[in-house]
Amino acid sequence: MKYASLLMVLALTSTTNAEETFVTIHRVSGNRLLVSVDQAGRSPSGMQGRRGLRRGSRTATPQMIAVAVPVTAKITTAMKERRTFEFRALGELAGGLRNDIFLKMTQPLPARIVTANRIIIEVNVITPQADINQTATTAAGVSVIAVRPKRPPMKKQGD
Amino acid sequence: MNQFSWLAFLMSVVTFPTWAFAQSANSEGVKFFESKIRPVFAKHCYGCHSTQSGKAKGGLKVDTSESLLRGGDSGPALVPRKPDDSLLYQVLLYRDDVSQMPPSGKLPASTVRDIRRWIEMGAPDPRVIKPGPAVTSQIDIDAGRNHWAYQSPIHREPKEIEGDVWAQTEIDRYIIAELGRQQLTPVANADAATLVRRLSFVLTGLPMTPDESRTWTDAIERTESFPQRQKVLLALIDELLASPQYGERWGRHWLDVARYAESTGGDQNNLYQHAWRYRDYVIDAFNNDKPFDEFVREQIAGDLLPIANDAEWAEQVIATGFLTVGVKLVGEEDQQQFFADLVDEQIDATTRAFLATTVACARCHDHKFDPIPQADYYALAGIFRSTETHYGLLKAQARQATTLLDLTGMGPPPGTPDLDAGEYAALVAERDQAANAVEEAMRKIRGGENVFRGTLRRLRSQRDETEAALQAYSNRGKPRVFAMGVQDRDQPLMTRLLLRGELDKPAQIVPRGLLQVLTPSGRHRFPSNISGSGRIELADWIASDTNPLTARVTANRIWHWMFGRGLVRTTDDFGVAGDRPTHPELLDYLALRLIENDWSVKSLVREIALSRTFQLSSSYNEKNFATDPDNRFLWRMNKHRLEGEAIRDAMLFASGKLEMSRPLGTYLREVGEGNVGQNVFEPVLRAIDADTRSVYLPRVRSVLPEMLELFDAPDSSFVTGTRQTTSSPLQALYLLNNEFVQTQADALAGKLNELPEDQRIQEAYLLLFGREPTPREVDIGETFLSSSPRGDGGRFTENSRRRGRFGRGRTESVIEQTTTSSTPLSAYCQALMSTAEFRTLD
Repeated sequence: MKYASLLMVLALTSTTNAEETFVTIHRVSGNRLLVSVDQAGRSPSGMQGRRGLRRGSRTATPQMIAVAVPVTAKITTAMKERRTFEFRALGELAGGLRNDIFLKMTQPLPARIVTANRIIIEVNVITPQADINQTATTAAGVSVIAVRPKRPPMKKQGD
Repeated sequence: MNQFSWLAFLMSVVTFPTWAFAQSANSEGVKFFESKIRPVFAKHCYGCHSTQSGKAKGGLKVDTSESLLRGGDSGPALVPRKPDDSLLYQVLLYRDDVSQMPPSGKLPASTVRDIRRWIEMGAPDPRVIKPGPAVTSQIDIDAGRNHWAYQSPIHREPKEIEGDVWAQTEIDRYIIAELGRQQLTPVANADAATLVRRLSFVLTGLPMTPDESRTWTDAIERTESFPQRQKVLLALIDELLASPQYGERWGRHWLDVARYAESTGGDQNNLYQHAWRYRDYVIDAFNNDKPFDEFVREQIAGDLLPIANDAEWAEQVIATGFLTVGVKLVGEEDQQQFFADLVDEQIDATTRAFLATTVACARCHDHKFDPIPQADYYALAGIFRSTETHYGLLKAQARQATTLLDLTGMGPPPGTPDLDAGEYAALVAERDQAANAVEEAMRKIRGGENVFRGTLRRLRSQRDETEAALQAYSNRGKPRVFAMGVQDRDQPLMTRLLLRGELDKPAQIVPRGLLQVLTPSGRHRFPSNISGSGRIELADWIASDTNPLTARVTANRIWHWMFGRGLVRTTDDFGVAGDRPTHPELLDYLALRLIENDWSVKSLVREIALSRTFQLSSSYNEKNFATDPDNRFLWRMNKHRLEGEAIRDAMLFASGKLEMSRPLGTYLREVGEGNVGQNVFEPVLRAIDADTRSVYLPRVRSVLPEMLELFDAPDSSFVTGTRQTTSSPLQALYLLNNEFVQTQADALAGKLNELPEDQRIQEAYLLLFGREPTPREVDIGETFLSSSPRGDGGRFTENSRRRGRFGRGRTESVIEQTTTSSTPLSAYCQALMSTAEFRTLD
């Protein structure tokens, strides 16, 4: 991917208030995201997203843009509330863009990018694992109520 | 410089020392700054980057020279004489590859040129205003180190009292020296029976049987010299310390400190079905005399400590339950807010339990009394933020549910019995039925039918509950072993200081670290390359011999648990707002003894119990009382009421119904998952009845067992080193009317009935008060029993009971209930159980 040719910052209004843009993350490399902006940056809210599409709009290829995320930006998971489709940021992802969600990404991830003064301050990613139905069952259909702890080092002889 | 490397470049920019920059502020430069630069900053920058505006976006302020040099999250904003290396200048150029400032639009070219020139001049800047305290602390850490509790304990010989023959141990020498200074004299030693009862309750929380009591009292009374008496007492103390009941008693003390409970508390109060493993770990730790420093390490970072085998691994993981059993607002919608509160609770519990320091006060601002800047709080928060907390719950019942830790096959016993094939099949069927019910409801909704939201919620809850119940067993019906505990995240989470503790007001990034005031200067932050969350470093630091607080705080807690009051009365606050020790030299001595004895709690308990100070009577002395009415200087033993648990256990013990063995798991198992009031109901919880020791009773926040609640058991919302002692009419009414007390009295009467008539009163006194009755007491007892309607100990009639025992006004149902099982002897026993002497430790 020729990032240099795609490089541009998100087109956002120049205000000092925080702005949010809804995107789909297609690829992550270092601190750079390759994203496409969803419906002019609006949150696709359930019914609206389903009914509002016009013929032909499905086939339009979204324009890919690359953005750089400052190391200080907060990277979190997110969910859509089941009934209201409200977008809700969840917990922070350890390691930020170096989290496995990005390193082992198999499909594009819907996300919200929050900026302030044209600087990205937050990226909220909806992951397949995220709970959207308040159930212990994951998107893969597996119910997990307990996990094995990570094994600590063994004592050395004489300890 | 392209966009991808400018941040990295900024990180590598060399910061010039502040002093060099300050030196260049000559008068010409200052004039230039005042005329050309300051107006630009004021107009375009201060709105988002100044103390006056209360904002420091990107962690940067531009209203002082220090702030500019220090910079923000992206590194220093200014490198004097090097505009090309100064981010402040670069952002004004409005290039695409770096941030652009000000956001309202590019400044005129002449202004940008002025800024460049100003930087080339060395950035002269007369503004020496210190940054606001919200971002940079004003606390003088070095001055704070002078507080008594932050200095290492040192051994100081007690002042010798000429001709003193009272002091028999090192502890006594410290006490008598202080008594001498205060012109107080110690009272006489406690009599043997009192001492035996005191030791039994202090060490095991239970009375002795009459035979044991008689044996030990006689043995003590037969001694002819102090060394002989000490020898007998040592044997008694060692026997009590070796009994499993010691761990139950002292474990209960620690569980107060660890704010142990089996529910989340807060708005939803969901049950923790697996907290009991931590409870049992604590009891075993005290019974095995686990070195206290190891005990501390395991509770903070047990999951990270090296192991010899799987059993040890499991035990250490369970120990980290300490960090998981606190109050949680699991109904919170905002996960980040929930997480911030969770971390706050962990910081509060850890620092108050082990260090008696209220660090959590610094979440929103610098600590108001202690030298703890807000940055120190966030340095600790970084450690706990990099930790995953596993406490379970079901997502259908609690928004902020998590997974548990699976320790199956690692050694710990299961908390439930095996299932046979039929029972397992029933669980599967129940799960399938619940899942189908949800599917059916969803089909209806998709088909346009209306399904109540509450119904759907209930169905989902049942589905998850049955699924969890099924997953708690292998497919052969063997129970799996789950526990609450913590784990390190794969990678640490960056932590920012939050202005006023508010999530949407982040300021500078704070590296993980420790409290400055308790660490050597400049060594309070962890290096950036540490692996893991930093919990192991935190645990090592707290449990270190050189930490001035840990051993002192622990020794003070032990003293408090033995005397009813600590040498520092505020057992959970050794800070400036807390009390000072009444005997600082003695406290240091005890702390050093604890460390010398490899942090053995039993050793210290033994040493204190063998002191003459512990063996004093609680008798009154007018002259001493006039000088020291509160007994701060320990001229006598403190008389204090037993805790609710000890009163209940003593009743069960006296009635012969106390079940001494540890129950399997928790009694909450029968109730199932859920939150109190929604899926689990208070009457059901209160109806749980067991004759095991009180430490094993269900400990649901806000729904404590009635007797414990009445006698001031803490709700476990916070670390509780000192229980309150209140007196209320409800306590007396409970003792007179509650079925539990009546049942125990009946059972005791049944036991006494098997004895010859002339021994009953004596036996009852020995069991309940640990002493023989006086002739007057025998006389009163005999008169009462002989004047009852059936003087042979027969049953009360309904009418006589109404008059003689409970008076008028009782409801018929209660009368029927009590009159069917009570006798005059049981009424007599209940009267003795209701006395102040029974529930007082002398």
